[in-house]
Amino acid sequence: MTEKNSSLFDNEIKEEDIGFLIASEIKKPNMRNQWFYYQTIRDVVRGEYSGSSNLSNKIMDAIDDEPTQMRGYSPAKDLAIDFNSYNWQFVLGFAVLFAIMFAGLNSKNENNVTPVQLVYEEMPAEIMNAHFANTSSTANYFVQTTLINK
Amino acid sequence: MQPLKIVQKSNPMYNTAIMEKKVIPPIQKPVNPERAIDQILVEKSQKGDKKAFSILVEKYHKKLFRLLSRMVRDQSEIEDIVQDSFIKAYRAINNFRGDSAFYTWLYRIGINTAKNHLVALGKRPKAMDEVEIEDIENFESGYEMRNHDTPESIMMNQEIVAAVSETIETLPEELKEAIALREMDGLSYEEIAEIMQCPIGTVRSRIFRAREAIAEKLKPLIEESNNRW
Amino acid sequence: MKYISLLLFILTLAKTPLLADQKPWGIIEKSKKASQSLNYKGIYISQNGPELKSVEITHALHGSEQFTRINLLDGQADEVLSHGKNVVIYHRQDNNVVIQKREQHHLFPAIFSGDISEIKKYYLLSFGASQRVAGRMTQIVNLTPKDSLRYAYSFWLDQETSLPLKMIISNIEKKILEQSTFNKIQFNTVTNLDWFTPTLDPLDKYLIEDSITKEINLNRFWRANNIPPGFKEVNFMVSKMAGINLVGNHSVYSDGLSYISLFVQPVRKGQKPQVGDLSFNATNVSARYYKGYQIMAVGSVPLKAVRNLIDSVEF
Repeated sequence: MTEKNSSLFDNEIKEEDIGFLIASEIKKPNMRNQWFYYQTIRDVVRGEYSGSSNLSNKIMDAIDDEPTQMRGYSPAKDLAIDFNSYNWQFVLGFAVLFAIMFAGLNSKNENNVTPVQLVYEEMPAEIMNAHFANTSSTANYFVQTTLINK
Repeated sequence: MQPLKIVQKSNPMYNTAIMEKKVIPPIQKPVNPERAIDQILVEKSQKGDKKAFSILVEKYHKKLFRLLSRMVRDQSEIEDIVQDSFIKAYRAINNFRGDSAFYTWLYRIGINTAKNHLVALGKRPKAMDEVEIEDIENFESGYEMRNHDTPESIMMNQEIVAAVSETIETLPEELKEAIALREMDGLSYEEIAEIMQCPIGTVRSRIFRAREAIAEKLKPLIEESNNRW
Repeated sequence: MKYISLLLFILTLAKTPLLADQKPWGIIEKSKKASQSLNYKGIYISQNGPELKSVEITHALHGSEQFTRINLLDGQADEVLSHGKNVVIYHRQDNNVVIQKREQHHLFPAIFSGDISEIKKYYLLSFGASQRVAGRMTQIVNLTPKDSLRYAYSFWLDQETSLPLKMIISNIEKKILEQSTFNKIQFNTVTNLDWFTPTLDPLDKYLIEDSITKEINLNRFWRANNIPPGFKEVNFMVSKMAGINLVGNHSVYSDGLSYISLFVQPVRKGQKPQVGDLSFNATNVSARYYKGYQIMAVGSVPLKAVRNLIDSVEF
């Protein structure tokens, strides 16, 4: 937690320093958490505290499911996700563990699930999109598949 | 067949020189630090930085809740409307030009969302005084967000309030005075510096250290309450 | 008479620059190199089943880097821009432009972009007639599969440059499944990179496609015991499944020409797993439900290939 973040919370930063400070503070993982504590302290001191709500987390969970909004372009390198980063591999490692756990849970239900005949109309879109995006030799199939989660 | 020599005039992938001519004019420069901070967070959100948007959420979700509680009675409905409002704001973030303050724009979205919600439910909105959007800053009344009034949550709230109060009481005098002037009286750092006869940097440091000390005491209680780690 | 025929044949070979002094498979190498090194611009028509699309392609080599731009001329004005192995798609969806990054492509005419060493083992090469395509003389080259696990490919290679100007994929009954053919092409008219830019309206909204699909070196919990001969894994991806905190696996196999995708995905609660086979256009799909997982193989290969593959998955 930094003094600068505390000043940002109070809007007590020189205008010429705002851009730089936000850019540096926002990279720190605890910026939002810090503001949560500061707001709690403020609410208590002002007699406005009525309990700790999880609403901001719920809102951000919903926002995380939204497609990223972006105006303008970034160079190709900015589009690249840093897959060599430790955090990414760490998260994926846990994701795989969860997948295996859920597989174990689901397998108990296997006997209760009745498969259905594969039909064209019910082909999973994400599977077809992923296949054509990675293998197609025809430009229209390659382009007109998107993996947006609606 | 020998390939012809290529003269590279622009960056690969993007002809940024041409694109810059077509870029929408930059957002107008704000006049106060809070608006400047919000402006930058909006611009970062427009560039795909969801973390920047999360700061705006943290900053304004309670205020929006209080505003909308004047229109909608049910607490969980208000929470849903607040969530919908932020989602709509995020989807429309590229349309925000900076002509008004961000929270003014957000609150317009919130009010419209609440009205639509009530109309969809066949309800009439609670009578709302002719509150000008520009007066939103001074808007005081309305429900606070509650953490579902169970005996446990009431006790937890009391513990949190007690922890803050007790910690403030144990702070060194200069830290106690600085945090009180800031949070209770809402004075600026410059005003506090004048009262306490010290540099602004010292005020900044004292407020920060006071907050740090209180947050340390709060952490275990908040974790227990919200799983906020 | 026999000797006269042989003499005529040799003379024909000598007359045709493409075949002169060529070991047969050298043509394929030359074709691959042509698609990578030439500067050209053209329009071709692509057919996949009943769908016909016109596509404009511009390609240039600058130093050692390849630049390609592909515009769909029918329907949505979508674009592909690739620079080396970086590929970006600009796809119009509703009122937004979706910008999506891909790892690589092997779009016509750059069909031979991968490893072609396996092609020799599993396809027979033969030459057909000379024909005119897009105003240029071409040599037909046929690649006939040696087994029943892949389709046949025919290429009309430009006699001067060896660039594929036409391609047909057909099945054992010689039914055309997919084809692409230039109707207009010019070489060496591309002299700069000003064209290498997306034509997007900056007032459009842009969505960066947010899938987190990537090749990850994770220990996978499953194995496929019967990958069709000649097919090697060329990509392995782990992707987050929509709306839930579970991951699916996607492996891509290729023999240098054909591609098969194998998906191993957990079945979500409430979802009905699918089983059986399906064919549409040049694509065959086979699906199986195994230990709570949807196993599905998709490919431009005969049904037998995808079916054998999914049947061999175990864990």
